[in-house]
Amino acid sequence: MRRSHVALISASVVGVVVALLVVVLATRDPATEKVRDSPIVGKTAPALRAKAIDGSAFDLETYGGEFVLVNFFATWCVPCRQEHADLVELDEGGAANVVSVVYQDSPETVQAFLAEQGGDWPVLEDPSGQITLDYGVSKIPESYLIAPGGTVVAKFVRGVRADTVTDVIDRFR
Amino acid sequence: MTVRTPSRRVPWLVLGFVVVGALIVGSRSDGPQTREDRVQAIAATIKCPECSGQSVASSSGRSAKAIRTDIAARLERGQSADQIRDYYAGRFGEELLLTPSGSGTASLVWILPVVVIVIAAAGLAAAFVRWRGGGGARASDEDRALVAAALADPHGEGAGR
Repeated sequence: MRRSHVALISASVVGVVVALLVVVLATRDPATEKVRDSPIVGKTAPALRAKAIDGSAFDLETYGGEFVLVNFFATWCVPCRQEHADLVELDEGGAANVVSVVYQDSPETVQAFLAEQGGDWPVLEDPSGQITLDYGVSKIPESYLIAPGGTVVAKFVRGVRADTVTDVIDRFR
Repeated sequence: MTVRTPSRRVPWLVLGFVVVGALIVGSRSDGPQTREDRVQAIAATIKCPECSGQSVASSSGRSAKAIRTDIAARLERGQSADQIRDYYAGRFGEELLLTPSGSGTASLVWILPVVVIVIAAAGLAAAFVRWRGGGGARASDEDRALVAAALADPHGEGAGR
């Protein structure tokens, strides 16, 4: 095989590999995107039965027919504190029912935080971390929007914004 | 045509036996495992969701502990290692698995190196065959004339150098 042919084939192979890399990288979601894909989006929401920090029992099934935003948070997490006002707006405005799951935090600290910052919704304990595993939570804050039919329709990371969540809800109404 | 003598094949046969023997020894199971061993073996193939660069087996984070407990519970319920790994891939995504799946596009990770090795071996074999077939320098008419002159006058100038 002549050297010019070898060079042409080698250059073609390298060119194809570089082109594929560019295509793959260009089609990935930017890191700033807050609405992210997740394996559980499009599937039925994992069952959510747990004890709330006020001692009451909670079951997600009782919310059938309404939008529910399941929010994983901790008071020591700065983005969680920053998104809290938006959660209050969503819940009090009636756009979605907020349900929070405490992530590695004490119920007493959470109660004190809610008393100070507002927020009158179920806040669930997850001492074993099983709820966190069922929803595939990696880093808080993470929130999962569940449609009235019980399907997870969106995952939000690095804090929710009320207008972003409302936009998604409007698309599914 | 050259005839390959048996003695030249011996090193290749020995090499083949060593490679096959190493593969057999390396892939042999160490016998029955305890449940803790199985938990650790599965946990070693799953990335800790909240840590960077650590497996669930080596992390002391809360998520890692929760996953180890969950793996033990799932083994207790009779689930296989693949079913457990599929469950976590279905919750967190395939990127949580430290050893890629053997199916779908992830299987390319296993297939491509083998394909590359086979192509490289075939290329090397072809090159060796070509080199052995006398692909070296060819004698020109001038070279032949020089050789003929040297043969015709074996005791001439230059002999004995």
